[in-house]
Amino acid sequence: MSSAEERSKGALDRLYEFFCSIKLSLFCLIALALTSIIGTVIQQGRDPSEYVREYGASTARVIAALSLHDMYHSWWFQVLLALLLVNITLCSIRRFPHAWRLMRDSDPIFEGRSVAMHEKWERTVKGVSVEEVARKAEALLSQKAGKPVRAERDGSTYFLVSRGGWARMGVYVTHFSLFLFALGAIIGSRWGFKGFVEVPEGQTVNTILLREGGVKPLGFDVRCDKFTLAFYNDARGVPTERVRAYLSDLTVLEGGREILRKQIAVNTPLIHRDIYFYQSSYGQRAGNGAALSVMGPNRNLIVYESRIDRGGPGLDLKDGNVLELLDLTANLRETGPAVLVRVLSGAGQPVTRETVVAAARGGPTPVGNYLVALNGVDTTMYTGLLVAKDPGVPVIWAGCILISLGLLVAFFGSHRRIWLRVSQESQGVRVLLAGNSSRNRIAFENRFRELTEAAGETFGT
Amino acid sequence: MTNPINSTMFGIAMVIYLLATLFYIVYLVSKNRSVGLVATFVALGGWLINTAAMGVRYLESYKAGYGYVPLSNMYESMTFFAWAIILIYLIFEYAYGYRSIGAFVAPLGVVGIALVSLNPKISSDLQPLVPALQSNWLTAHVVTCFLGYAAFAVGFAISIMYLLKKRSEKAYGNREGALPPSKVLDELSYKAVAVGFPLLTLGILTGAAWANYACGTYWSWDPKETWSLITWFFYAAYLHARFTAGWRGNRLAYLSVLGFLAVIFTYWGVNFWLSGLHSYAG
Repeated sequence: MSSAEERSKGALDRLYEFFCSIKLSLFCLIALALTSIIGTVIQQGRDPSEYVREYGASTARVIAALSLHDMYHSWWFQVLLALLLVNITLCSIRRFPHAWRLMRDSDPIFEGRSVAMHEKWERTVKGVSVEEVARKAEALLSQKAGKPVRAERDGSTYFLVSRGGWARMGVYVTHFSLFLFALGAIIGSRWGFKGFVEVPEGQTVNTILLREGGVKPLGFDVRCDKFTLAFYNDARGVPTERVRAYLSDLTVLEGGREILRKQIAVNTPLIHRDIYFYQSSYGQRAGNGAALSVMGPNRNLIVYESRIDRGGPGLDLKDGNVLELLDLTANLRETGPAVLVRVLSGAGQPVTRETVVAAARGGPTPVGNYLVALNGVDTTMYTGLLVAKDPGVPVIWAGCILISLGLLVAFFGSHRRIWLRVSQESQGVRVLLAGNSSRNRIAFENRFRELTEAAGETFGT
Repeated sequence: MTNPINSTMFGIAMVIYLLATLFYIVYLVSKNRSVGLVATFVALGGWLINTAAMGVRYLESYKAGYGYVPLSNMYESMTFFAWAIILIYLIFEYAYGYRSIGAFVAPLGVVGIALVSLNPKISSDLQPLVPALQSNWLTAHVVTCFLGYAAFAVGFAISIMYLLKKRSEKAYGNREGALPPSKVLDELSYKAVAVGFPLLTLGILTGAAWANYACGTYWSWDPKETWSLITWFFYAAYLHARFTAGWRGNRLAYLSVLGFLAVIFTYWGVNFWLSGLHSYAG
């Protein structure tokens, strides 16, 4: 190999070492922790003008440049996450084969191999044969530790009891589940959606407003039959002002046919075709009609508190003209109910301009030659539904289950091995007992001590 | 309105925890075995009253007509936190026998209840659950999170002891002092984190599952969620630093202290200093 090749190979090795290193893992974890703090202090996802107001123009520019206003979706945060996942992958690839081998190891002969034995105990037995001692040893192990694997070499007999090897896999399962979380998040952001829709009582919708803008057709209809505000009763059974529940009676229709009916509450959404409908908010909205009073040019009362529908036949003004209700709202710019009206001639020609009549005005509003007063608007309740679909959720659930199992195994499982060798020495037959546990040494020490006490009794001196 | 029975009982538990602290401190200095035994029994007694108080509060909520598991507000979660800290400590004491740790952990139980009992701004009144909290996930989420926090609190106390012991060892050598050997403290603080980390993980997962059925998504980078993740990152760093990078000693103890500061911020700081939708825990 030329020196240039050696150098580039050395550089590649160093790069690999870097990406495999635990130092990188620690760096990533602490960097993720510290940078995440920023996103909790600087409010995320707000209007740009809010940052200018809060921090001043120049700081707001820095915030925008570094994507600090949406930092968890910023490129640099995603790079940190990806770096950690790459690091985990390489570390796992490097360490897994050894862990797998240790788990699968069933060769009782330990000479010539590097085996870490934490516990050791030896005894020399006189006046017996290797075969006899080996038989006793096998019985002892079977009773106290588990059925051993037996091997013979050079006149010596070896035993191995290996339990809980699967505990070594806990770490890899835990780390793998993190990839499932990443995958689930990617699937969700790519193929999922989130939106909102207001459904007045009695009405049906089949599209929603997406959070990032735009309208999305659902492919089916959702009707709100009723919205209920339920209150807690006090000890005497009298309703208090404390809300007990927000309840929407929803019906799903496809092709005009009722498919599904459910009463949803805050923690129990409606699910149809993997789309979730969450009880999110509610409100009052103008209904379909208003009550109006009209006075003539001589302040003569023409119509008193009569109700008309929006877009329906207007109020007969008894002189050939008609008052038409064009639109209504329960709340005009935070000032209260208001309507939009117009006077038409008997032939349908507009006599006046479209005029706003608001309750906030206090007195009647001139509309052409007439004076119109708004007595009230119909209101209807609407339910605010948060609508979301996330195809990544099953993958996330798989990740949740795996990480729980992985942590359980990694922290509470232990790979325990016991070796026993019976060999012929000049003074007699030598018994060597040794043990190793991957976790929870103290408990293993106690069990090993019990085993050696039993061994002492079995083999005598 | 007269003080309901449950808050009186929580107050009594707090005073008994204070008594236990005094006995543990006397044990710490004197190493008198009988004093240590009394300290353990006093702590256990306080814990039993703490448990009973929670049960009484649960029953009282049913009597008021709107029964719920008492884990829904600052008062209920803090009294549960104190309960969990003492529980985890007593298990540690039973398993490993180092009563001197009691002198550092029992005060946390006192402070936990004191912060909500003696604070006029925090109400101990029973309030019916707002709609957002009416879910079985509430119990699972709060229990796992706070058991995790409690284990981290025990780990924090032990790490403080470690730092103090290291300083005394540096000044006076490895003499037999009031505190256990630093090597033991190092090992025990790891064990506490080893209990807390899976519990915190379950806490975050149950929170995400709950959000999936209530808020439209399992994760929204809400400050409370994010801070629980920050805490998780810190303790993940602790475990990897210890296990894989072979860190021991002061560096590791500081990481454990930092992790607990993150726990405190996740629990209190988010509610009182940041804005977001999680402030209803107040």
